[in-house]
Order: sequence, then C-alpha cells, then structure tokens
Amino acid sequence: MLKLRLKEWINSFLLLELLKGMGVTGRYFLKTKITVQYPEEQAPKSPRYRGLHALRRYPNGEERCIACKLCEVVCPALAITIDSERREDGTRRTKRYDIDLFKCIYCGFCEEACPVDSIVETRVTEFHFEERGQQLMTKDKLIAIGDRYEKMIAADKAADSAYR
Amino acid sequence: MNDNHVKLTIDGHLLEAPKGETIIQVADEAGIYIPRFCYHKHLPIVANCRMCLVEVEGVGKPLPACSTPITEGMSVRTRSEHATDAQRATMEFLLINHPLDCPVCDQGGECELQDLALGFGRGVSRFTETKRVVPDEQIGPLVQTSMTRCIYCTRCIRVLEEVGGRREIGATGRGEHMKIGTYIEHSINSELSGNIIDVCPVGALNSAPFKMQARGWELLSHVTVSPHDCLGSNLYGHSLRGKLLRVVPRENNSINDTWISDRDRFSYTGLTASDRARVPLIRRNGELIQVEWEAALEYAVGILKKAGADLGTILSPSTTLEEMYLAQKLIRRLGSNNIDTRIRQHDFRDDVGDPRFPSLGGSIREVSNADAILIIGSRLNKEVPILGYQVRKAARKGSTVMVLNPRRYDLVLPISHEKIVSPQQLVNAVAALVRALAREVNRSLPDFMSQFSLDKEYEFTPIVKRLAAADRAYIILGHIAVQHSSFADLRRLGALLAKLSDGRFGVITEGSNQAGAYLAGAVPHRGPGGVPVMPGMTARNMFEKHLPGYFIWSIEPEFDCWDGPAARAALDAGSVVAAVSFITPAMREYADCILPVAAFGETSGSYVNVAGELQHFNAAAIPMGESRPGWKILRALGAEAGLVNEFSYARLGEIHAELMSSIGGTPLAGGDMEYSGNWEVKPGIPDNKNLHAFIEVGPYAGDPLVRRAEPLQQTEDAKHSGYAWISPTDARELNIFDNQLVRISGSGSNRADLVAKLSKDVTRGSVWIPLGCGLPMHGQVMLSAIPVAAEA
Amino acid sequence: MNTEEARARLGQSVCDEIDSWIAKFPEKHSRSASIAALRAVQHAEGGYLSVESMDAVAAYLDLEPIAIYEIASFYSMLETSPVGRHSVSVCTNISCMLCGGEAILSHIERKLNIKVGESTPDGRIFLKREEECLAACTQAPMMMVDHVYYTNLTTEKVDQILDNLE
Repeated sequence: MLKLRLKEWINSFLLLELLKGMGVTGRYFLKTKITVQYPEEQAPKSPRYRGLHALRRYPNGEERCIACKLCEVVCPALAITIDSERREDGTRRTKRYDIDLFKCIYCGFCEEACPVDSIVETRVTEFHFEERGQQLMTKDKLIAIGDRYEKMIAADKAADSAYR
Repeated sequence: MNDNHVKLTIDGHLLEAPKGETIIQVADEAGIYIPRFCYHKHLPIVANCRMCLVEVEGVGKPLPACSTPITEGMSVRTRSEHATDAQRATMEFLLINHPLDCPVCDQGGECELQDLALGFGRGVSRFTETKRVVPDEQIGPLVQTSMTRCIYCTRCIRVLEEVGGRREIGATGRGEHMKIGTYIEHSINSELSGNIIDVCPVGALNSAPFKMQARGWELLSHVTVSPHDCLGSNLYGHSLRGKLLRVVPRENNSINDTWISDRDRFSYTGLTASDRARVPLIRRNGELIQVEWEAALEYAVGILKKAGADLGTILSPSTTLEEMYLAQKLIRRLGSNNIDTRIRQHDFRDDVGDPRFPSLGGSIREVSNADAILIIGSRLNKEVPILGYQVRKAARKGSTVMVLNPRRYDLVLPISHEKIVSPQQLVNAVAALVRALAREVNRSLPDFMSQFSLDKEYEFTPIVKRLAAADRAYIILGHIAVQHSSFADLRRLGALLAKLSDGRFGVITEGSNQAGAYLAGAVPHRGPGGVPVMPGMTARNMFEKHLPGYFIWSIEPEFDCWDGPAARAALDAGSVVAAVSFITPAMREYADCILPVAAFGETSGSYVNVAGELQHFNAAAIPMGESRPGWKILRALGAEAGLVNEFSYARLGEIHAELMSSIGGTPLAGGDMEYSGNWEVKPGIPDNKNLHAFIEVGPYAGDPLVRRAEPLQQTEDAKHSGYAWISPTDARELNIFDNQLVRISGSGSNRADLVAKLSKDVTRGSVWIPLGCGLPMHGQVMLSAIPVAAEA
Repeated sequence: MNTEEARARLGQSVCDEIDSWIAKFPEKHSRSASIAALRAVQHAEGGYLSVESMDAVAAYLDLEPIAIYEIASFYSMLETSPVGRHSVSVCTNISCMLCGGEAILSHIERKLNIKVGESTPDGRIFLKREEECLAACTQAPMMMVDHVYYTNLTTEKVDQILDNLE
C-alpha cells in the first residue's frame, strides 16, 4: 500500500497523465473530423427518422386520412384528438385532427397504425413555438406540412418500403 | 339426477343440462365460448353460418353447436384440431367476399367478424379472386346499409319476423347472387327496426344517425332508462367527450329482453335541435332577455310566490321521481296543491277510486304468459312498442289476442277476434261486453251498470267465450282509452272485465313515470308516498280556470295537453315559469321566465315503470349550454324561496332517500288495480250525423324530444300521422276526396286545415287528426273542403 | 291486397289449381304450395312473374310478399323479369352432347335468330339456357319447353315443336 503511494507520488513529477492526455488529443488532431457545423451543415438522417408530423394527400389532391382513429387509439401519450364526420360526398373524413406536440413522444406508433399512410413523421426537426397553443398541430397545419414536404416523404417511404 | 336432465362433457368439463337444449346453450351457460354468427339466444336457430362447428366424439363430421341437441354421455370438444380446422375453414369462406374496409366501417372495433377472424381464423386467405359487390338497400332513414359487407347470417330477417312481427326483409336469389333485402325497394316500417343494427355481426346494417360519428372503443357507456314509454326499457347511453352519440339496449329479461324501440334508440338525435333552451331567459319590457341563473331564479320565485295558492303546476309525466318530489314539495310549501302530470287525460271523475298508483296490474312477464289478452283502445305496437313485442311473444306461445278499438290499426299481431266500434260508442261497447261476460259466467253486476243504456247490440260471443275460458286473461287499456273523455268508466269497466274473467287488468300510462308521479305526490290528490291528500286542481281544471300563475315543466302544452287551445289561452292570460329543454315559438309569447332544463341523457334520476319497478339511471352527457339538471334547479328555487334548510340536498341520493322513506321501501310490485268509489256514469255519445274529431298521438309525436328527432320524423310512421283520416262513407257525404285540403272547425275559433285521407279503418262519424293541429283531443267538429282557389 | 283481390287478379282457373295443391298439404301449411302456385301463375301470365302477380300469390296463400319473392328468385325455373312467353331450354350435357344436342341448340339459335338467354323480339319464345342433365339420357337429345320434355329430337321435330307454339 505504502509502496503504491510512493510510486504515484514520484510519477506525479513526471507529468505522465498530462502526456497521455495530450497523446489522445494529438491523435485526433490528425484524424478526419466527424463533427458538423450545425446549422450550416447537417448530419445525415435515416428515412425512418421520426420528426415533425404531417398529413399526406394522394397525388390527385384528395386527403388520405379517413378518420379511422387508429392513430388516436394507439397513441400512448394521448396526444391525438380526432372528430370524424361524413363529408358531403359520403366519405368518412376528419372534422378535426389535432396533435399536441407537447404530449407527443415521437414514438411513431401513429405512422405504424395508419392504414392509408396518411399521418407520417417527417425528417423535419427544426420547429419551435413562441406562444402557448402553437404546439397544437391542427389538421390544416399538418396538411400544409405534408404538402410542403411531400416529395421528401414519398422518397423516404419508397426507400423504406422494402423493409415493411 | 333429474329425469329431464342429461350429463355431457364439453372440453372435459362434466356438465348437466335440461334435455332439448343445444350444445351452444349449455356451453354458454357454463362459460365455454363457441364462435357464432347466426345464433342469437332470443332468435330461432337456423344454423346457416357454420361458425359454431365442434367435434362430437363418435361423429365423423364436425356438428353445428347451435342446432345439435345434447344427449346423454355426449363428449364435445370445441377447441380440438378437428373443430378448429372446421372453424378456420368456415372463417376463410366467410372472408372470401367480405371487403377489407374495416378502417372506414362503422362496425370497426366492435365487429364480431373482426373478433372471430382474429380469434378463430387463419392469418392469410388463399383466395386471390376479386370480391363480389352488392348494391346497397334503401330501407329508410334509420338504418344505413352496406350490403357488400353482409355475411348472410339472416339474424336481421329473424329479428324483424320474431320481434317486429312481420317479415319485411328476406334473402332473395341464391348462391353468389343471394341478397338480403326488401326485393321491392321500400322502407322498413317496424317500430323495432333498429334492433337489426345490434344483431348484425358485421357492418352491413349500421345506425344512420350515428354514421361516421365515433368509434366503439372511445365511447363511454352509461346506464340509462327510456323516457318515452311507461315500460322503461333499459338502455345504455354512449357518449364521447360529454356528448350523447348513440343509444343501445341494455339487457333486462323482465322488461325488454335485448330489444328496444326505434323511439328509444334514435330520440337522442333531438337533443341538438336548434330550439334547445340553452340560457335562462326572463321577460323584461315585453322581451325575453338572457340573464344569469341567479336573476332568473329570483324572477321565477317571484312569479311562483305571487300566485301562491292559485299557482298551477303541470309536469311532464316523464319527469324523474326526484324532480317530481322536489316540485311538489316546493309548490305545496308555497301553499298550492295544484300539481299534475296527467296532461293528456281528460276524465278525472274516478280520482277518488284510484289505486296507490296506476299500473299494468302485474309484471310484464305476466303479460307475455297470459293465455288470453284483450286490448281495449290502444295502438299497442306504436304506443309502447316493447309491450307490443311482449304480447306478440304471448301470442307465439299460443295466447289468444283480442282487440276492441275505436279505429282499425295494424298492430302486427296475430289477432283472433277484432271488434271496431266508433270512438263515441267505445264505453257503451265495453259495457255491453261486461254484460255479455257476466251472463256467460253467471255472475251478478254492480249497480252502476244499469246506467249504461242498451240502445245498441254488439256481437261479442267469441271474445266472451274466450275470456270466460281463459286461465290467465289479461285486459289492457291503452292510450286511446286514457285520452278518452269517458276514461273513468272505461277503467272501471276494464277492471270489472278482469274480475269476471278472473284475470288481470292494467292501464298503459303515458310518459315514463306516471306511476312515479303518484308515489312522489305529483298528482293533485296524492302526497309523497302516494298517500291521499286534500285534492288540488287537475291539469284539466288548471287550464280551464285561467289561474294567475303557471309553472310548467318539460311540456309544450299546445302539443302535450288534452286541450291544447285552452291551455294556450290560459297560459297567455297568466304569468308562466317554463322549465323546459326546448323553446317553441308559442312559448316565446306566453312564458315570462324560461329555465333551461337538462334533457334526456343529461340528468340522473329514477323512474317507476308501469309494472312498479323502480329503476335508476345516470347522466350520459353534459347538459347543453347553461342548462342544469332539473333537481338542481328545483333545489335552487327552494333555497331562493327561503326554504334553505328543506332544500339543502348535497346529492341526488339524499332526495331519493327522503322520498323513499315516505314510500317505505320498494313494495312497488304491480297487481293492485282495485277501483273503489262511485261516480256518475257518462255513457257514450250516440252515433248520429255529428262528426267528432279525435287526435291520434303519433308514435313520434308524444313528447318534446321525439318531435325534434329528425330521423324519426322522416319515417313513414311520422308521416302517417300528419293527415285528417276520415271514413270513405263520410267523405262521400261531405263531398271530400282523398288528398283534399279540408278545414276542421271545432268549438269557438278552434280550427285546423289539414289534408284529408280516406281510410276504411276509420269508423263513420269520426275524423282522426294529428297532435298540435289546434284542436282538443276530442270534440264535435264541422268539416268542410277548402276550395282549390283559396288554397293558392 | 286481400284474398278476394288476389283471386280476381289471378283468375279462377289458376286459383283452382293452387287450391288443388293446397289440398295436398296439411291444414295451415299452404306455404308448401308456393312453388306450385308460382309455376301455375307463370304459365298463365306470359312466362314470367311480375311483382303484382307475386303479391297476389302471397295474399292468396296468406304469406308476407317477401316470402314469395324469396322463392321466386331462388328457383331457376321461375322467371322474375320479362321474357318470352314460352321457355325453351336444350340439354347439352354429356349424353345429349354425344347425340347432337349442341347441333339442336345451334339450329334453334339460327332459326330464331337469338342467343341463349335471349327472347325473340315478338315475345314468343325465351331460349332459356343450356340445361344440365334433366335425366332423360336414354332419349337424348332432349329439350324442355314450358317444363314439358321433348325427346329424341331432330331438327325437323324441333321446327315442328317451335312452330306450334303460339
């Protein structure tokens, strides 16, 4: 025990730890860098990334959602609220489709449950709220997101389709 | 071991059951589940879905459990490989043509096919062929069809035949082309048609008003009771986020089995009517203005106190027991005895002879077990659809059903003997029947019988013979009799008929809680507990007298009272506090204070049904707008009137307990229908040249809520009531044609302009008119055609 | 429709035939006579059953109309849509096929200028369908005209039979 203490004491004069640490720094100094300059640069994301939600449309412009309420019932955080109605043309549609993003835990179950690929979680991660109530994503907002990113969503879905 | 029992094993459980039962019945009793689609415990067995195939030891092929009777020593295996193979194959067949539209199907989540496919089917189908498509049927405003989803279990066909009494749909075509439907497109007119929605195991038959409203899993289920008829069918109210979205039956084998009427099922659609009372209103400078509850209550109590002993209080007979009790407590403390719920009754001569409460005189089961049933003055199947079903059940067991009516109605019953007399002569005819029966059974008649003249002979031999021979005769007096201006005599004669045939006698009361009104003290001659008190004015007197103040509760007198025009005149003259759920245009003119009351499904309480059963129910939805449950309004009115201590209830249960202590437990079994007392007889009006108008209370016109239920108003039944029905003979004499606009003028300035319809079902000298047309329920009228020029 | 109206609609001879069938079944089982009644009505009323005639049968037998619609739409020998007055169906099952049933059929098609399943424009003949075996193999080829068998057919015999139909 005493011998060990003595050894440490002597070594401390030799600055061995410091040199070891500098060695690590020196090694990484010469390697390729893996950090990115966010937000100018961004790390790659998986097509399965679970970010901001969106409601999609069919290519002909018809909204996909049929108000089956499976996402609502599967949501573990009870973040989704849906009111269904019969639209004038007799089809089943949502009158209200709200996702409370403060409740949402981004588990992606809603996307899994959806029989028509309507609700999806996009790769979009950059969003913020400035006032109370803005976290409530209404149907209009969700459809607008879907319209804006449809190209990306479709590509992500296609990329992942082999594994579904 | 009982001789009539056999022993068998199901899945290794040793069971004993009565002979003649089938495997599925024994298994259900023992809690062993066998999958099924076509089998339903209250319907005949047909064994056409083949889902319940099970293995029976010693039998090579799997057998359908629903139709295989049990035998001694039988050994049944429901989950053996043999059985599950058969079940899986059946399921695969059923799914060949069933569409995969579960996400948009209203049955999704509460679908028997979904459940059984998961529990007893295989994961994938080997069929890749295209599925067949079947065009949808249009069968009326209540039931939405998606016939492609149908799996041909035929439960709907059997429900309409067994419960509704008439085969209105069938399975036409065969094989791939088989179709469930009406063949010729027409609506299904049974008053029990909604039950096909419940029995359909898939989404082929769905509730039209509920379509796409919600999913089964998100609805909250609340226990409730029908507010529309005196049987008090047991219901569940299904609500989503405080809104009542659907009503379904709750099984009660002593009342409604598993069926309910369309009225009970769809009346909730009226809750969101545009004329719903949402805020308290008071009249200031001639205008109704919105105020806070406090101001409205103060204003209302002012009116009630000012009228004092001359206050007239008229409650709906469908008010809850607790509200009736509080209302009578309040107004009796304010010095008035004038409280009544018998709004469509006109003849109160026999109040002195009343039993403790008006009832069916026995349990509902006793009706379905009767061997001879005589219906007097009733359109039974439309007045109380579930009682109609119970009588149908009796008829199926072999009971003789007989009818004595003032107009021929299609009661959808196998009627053995039917006698139609004019409504004016109804009481004389019943008296003649009593006399004939007394002669048949050799019994003497009470003195009052001599007051009935014998001016007309009636042929009653078959009815008399049957009543005299019956072991369990049942005499039922219906709504037409209750509304009749000789109701007191009809009731005494009906009771006498039952006495002479050693049977039972019952009255079908109006509203859902008429019996409760007697027990709560909400009739002028009864106090809490049904004890006789110093009588106040009846509903009829209150409107005839023109009192200074009125307190009306959940009624629309121009529709709901016997003499609508007289009620209107009285209300126009006095100050009126109206505690209502809906505001009619007339109410805006006469009411001085409108208190919004929670409607059906929005309040808790209890009802006493016509068989004396006390039933509690809970609120299923949140009262709309500012409206409040009635008992809370009455509690606040009591406190406002200075009776703070007596109206300091914290919970509904306290009111109930206080009332029950005066009723004394629940000794409410029916059966006590003795009539005592004496009054002068009012014989019938002779059939002569004079024309008399009678109001027909349509099945969907009887109370404020059903009048606003849009889907019910679109039915053929509702449309049928909107005319002036007259006999072809009278029409010929008056020179009136079918579909002609006619003017019916009663006494004073009462008159109604209606479209005439000719029908052989109407007797000579009478014209039947709809509720709320501006005439009293019964009166002598003049009828004249309106020239076509005047029409334009 | 009540029984009297039904009787008037159906005519006395049809009613007599229905009555003779009802008599063959136990009392209160008049429903058993439905098929025979419908066949009689179909023969009497131009080869098919209109809704009114089915309603009349239902009223006459005291059944709900839907019970009659079910039967009429189930059995292939009963027609529920307008077709020619006389129903002709030729057997082309194995025995008849070997003995020239198909030639008979194509002869009829050519003669009447209609295909199987069609009626002649004058409403006289309905060429119903290629019948599967009707159990008259020993006398093949055969055909059925208005539910009556005609066997050992030749084209001349067929011409004669068809020409004699009014």
